Amino acid sequence: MARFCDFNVPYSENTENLHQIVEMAIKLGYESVALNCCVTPGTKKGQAAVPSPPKPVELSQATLAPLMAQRKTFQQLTRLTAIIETNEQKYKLNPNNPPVNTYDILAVQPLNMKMFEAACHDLEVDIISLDMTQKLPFLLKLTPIKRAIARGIRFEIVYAPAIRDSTLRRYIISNATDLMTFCKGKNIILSSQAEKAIELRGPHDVANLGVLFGMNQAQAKDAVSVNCRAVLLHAETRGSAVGVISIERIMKQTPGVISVERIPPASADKRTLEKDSGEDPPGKKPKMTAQKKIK
Amino acid sequence: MKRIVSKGDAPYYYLKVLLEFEDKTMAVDVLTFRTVIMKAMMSMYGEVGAAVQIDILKYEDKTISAILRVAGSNMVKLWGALTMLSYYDEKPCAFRVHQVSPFLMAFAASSRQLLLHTE
Amino acid sequence: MSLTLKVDLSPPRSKLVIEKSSFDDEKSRHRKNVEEHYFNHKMELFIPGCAELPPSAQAVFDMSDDFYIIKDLPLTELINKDFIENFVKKGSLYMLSHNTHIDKHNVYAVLPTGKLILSVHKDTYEELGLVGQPSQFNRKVKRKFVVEVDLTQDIFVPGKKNYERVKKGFQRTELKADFLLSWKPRGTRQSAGPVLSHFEDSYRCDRRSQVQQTNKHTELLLPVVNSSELEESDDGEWCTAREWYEWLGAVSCGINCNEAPEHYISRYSCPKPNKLTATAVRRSMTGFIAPGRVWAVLEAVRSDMRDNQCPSPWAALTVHGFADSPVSWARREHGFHHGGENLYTLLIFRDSTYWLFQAVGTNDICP
Repeated sequence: MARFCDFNVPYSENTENLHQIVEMAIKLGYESVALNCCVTPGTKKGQAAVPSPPKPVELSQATLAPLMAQRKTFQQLTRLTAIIETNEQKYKLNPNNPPVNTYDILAVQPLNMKMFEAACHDLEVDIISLDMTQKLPFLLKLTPIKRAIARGIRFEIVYAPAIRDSTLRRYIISNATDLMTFCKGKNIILSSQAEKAIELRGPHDVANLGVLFGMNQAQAKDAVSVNCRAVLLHAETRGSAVGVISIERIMKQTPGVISVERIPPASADKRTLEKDSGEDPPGKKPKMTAQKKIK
Repeated sequence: MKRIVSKGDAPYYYLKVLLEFEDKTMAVDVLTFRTVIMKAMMSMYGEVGAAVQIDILKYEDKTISAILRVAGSNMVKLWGALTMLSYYDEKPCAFRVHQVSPFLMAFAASSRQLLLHTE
Repeated sequence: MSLTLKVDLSPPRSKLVIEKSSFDDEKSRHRKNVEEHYFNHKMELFIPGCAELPPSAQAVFDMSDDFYIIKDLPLTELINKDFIENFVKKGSLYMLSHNTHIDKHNVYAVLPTGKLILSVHKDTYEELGLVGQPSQFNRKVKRKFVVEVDLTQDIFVPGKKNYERVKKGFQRTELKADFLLSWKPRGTRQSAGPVLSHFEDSYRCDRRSQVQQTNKHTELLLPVVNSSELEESDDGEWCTAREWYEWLGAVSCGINCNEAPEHYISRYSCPKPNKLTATAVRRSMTGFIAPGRVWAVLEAVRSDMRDNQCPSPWAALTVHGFADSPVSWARREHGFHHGGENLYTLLIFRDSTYWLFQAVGTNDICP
C-alpha cells in the first residue's frame, strides 16, 4: 500500500530523543519509518565495517492506540547508509555479507564522481543519497542518472537540514532542483533526516516542498508514498534473480490468471516473491540484469 | 438554466494551520502570528514574498491555530515557507498544516476525523 | 532530452460548478444531484431571519435516523445470497468502508443501485482476478483499479461463472473492512432493524446516531444576492455567486465577517452590498447520512418557504461528502490528493429558483 513513509530517521544512542521523533512521525500520519545508520566503512583496521542494525523503538500502547482504532499498523525498518569514497569501501558493501544483509534498506552516499558512477551503474543498493547541504563535490551527469533510474534506484532528498539553517536550505534547494533537471521528478524520495521531533513535517507538507523543488503535484506526493514503497520492493528483490523475473511475468499477464514461473534461482536466496513491481520500468533492463546473474 | 464551470486554478486557497512550539507555554497574539508568517515568507522569498497578501480569517490564540487565505498562485509558496519555518524568537517551532482547500466551505467538515470507537 | 527544469508552482487543480435553475423546471437536475450524491458526511441548513428552524424542517431534523457500523466484515458477506435478496434488492443500501484512506488503502462501497465498487491497489487487483478499469487519476502508472460488481444482476447467483469467480477472488484475498451502513427498505416505513440482526450474530455491530448541532447568530451581515444573476452587476447592486459562496463558508467555519480587522491581519469582510439581519439559525447533522434524508430536508424547507413560515429571503443547504468515498456523484470516480473535497450547496430562493454549487478537489471528475 502506498502509505506515507519517512525513510531517514537518524539512529542515535539517545533513545529518548529517537522515541520522540518516532512518536511525532506517527502523530503526523506516517505509517512507516526507517531508522538510519550512517557509516564510513573500513576506516580502522580490524574493526567491523558495519554495525548490526538497530532495534526498533519500543512504543507505548498510548501512542499506538489511535492507529489501532483506525486499523493501521506502524512499520519500523532499518537502513544502512554507507559513505563511500574508495573502491575498498565499496567492496565492503557486498549486500550478501552479514551484517549488511540484515538491514531492510541499503543506501550509499558517494563522495566523488567515480563512486557516484559506480553506484548508478552496478552497486546493489536501493537509494543513492547525496549530501545536498553543501556544494556537490562533482557535477551531476545525465548518463549515470538515467542508468540508475532504469535499475530502479531512488535518489533521496532530505529536508530537515533545510529547516534548520538558511544556508543549508539554499544549497539543498539548489542541488535538488539541479538533480530534478536530470531525473524530471521521477525516482525521488523525500525524507527528513530529522534530529529532533520538531524538525519533522507532515507528509502533505513535504509533498508540497517537492513542488518547490520542481516536481509536479502527483510526483511530489509519490515521493513520500509510492516511491518509498518501491524502494522496499527493490530491497526485497535485490540480489535475487527470481524476484526480478517474476515481476516481468506477472505484469504481462491478464489479471486473474496468476502463475509464477519459477526459474531456478541462481543464488540460494529464498525471499518471498513480490507480485507488484511498483514503479519498476517495464523495459528489458531488469531482465537483462537477471540473466547476467544466472550465468 | 445557467451554468458556470470554473476549472483549474482557484482564485483563493485556504489553509487551516496550527503553530506548535517545543515550549508549550508560549503565548502568541494575532499580530505576532502575522509577523511570524511574514518573516517566514521573507526568509524564503525576500521582500517580494513578504509583500504577498495573506489574510488571517480566523485566529484562536489558545491553540495558536488559524485559517489563512492566500491567492491561488501563491499557495505553494506560502505552504513551503510555513513548512520551512523552524524558529521564532530563537524558540523552536513548527507549523502543522491540517487542511488545505480551494473551498472555505470544505473546512466546515472533515470526514477523516470521524472516528468511531467501539471501545 | 533538454536539460531545463520548469518549476510549476501552480496549486493543485480543483473545480467549482455553479448552476442556476428553477425547481419547477422540468430539466432541473436538483433531485438527481441530491439522490446521486450517495455518501454524505455532514448536512448543514442555514436560514437567515429566523431564530428557530421553521416547523417542517425542524421535524425532519428531529426524526431519528441511525446508521450502523460493522466491524471486520469480509467482502464475501456482501455477495451472500440472503444478503442480496433481502437487503440489496429490497431497499436502498448504502455501505462505505470506514477508516480507509482512498489514497493509501483499498476502499469498498455498495451503492443503492446494487453496485459494489472496489477501489483497490494494483497488487490486490491482480490477486483478485476480476476485470476492472485503471483509476482515472494515474493512468500513466497504473496503481489503483476500480472494479464494479453488479449485485442485482439476475445471473449473479451461486453456481454461475461470474459469481463463483468473484467469490473465489474475495476468498483468496481475504479482503475485509469496517463498514458504515444505512438501509432504507422500499415502500414500507419499517426500520432498518433486520439488516442489523443479519450481521449481529457473526460480527460486531454498533448503532450510531447522527450528531446534531445548532448555532444561532445575531446581528449578522448578509450579502445581497440577485436570484436571477450569478455574475456581478455593473453598478455593484448585488454580490456574485462566488463571493456569496465564500461568505457562507466563512459563516460555517465560525469566522466573524461583520467587520474587517486591521488591514495587516486580514482584508476579508462580508462582501458588499450587504444587509443586516437580526438573527439567523444554522443547524447541522454529522455522521453517515443517506440522500433520502437530505431530500426530506430540502422538501421541508421549500414547503416552509411556500407557507411563509420564515421571513428569510433565502435558505442554504450544504452537504459534505466523504473525502474517501470511491465515487462522488453517481459513479463518477473520486480521489484524494491534499483534500478529498466533494460537496454541494443549494441556495434556495423564495421564487423557487435555486443556485447549486458543486465543489470537487483535485482527483475528481467534473460533476
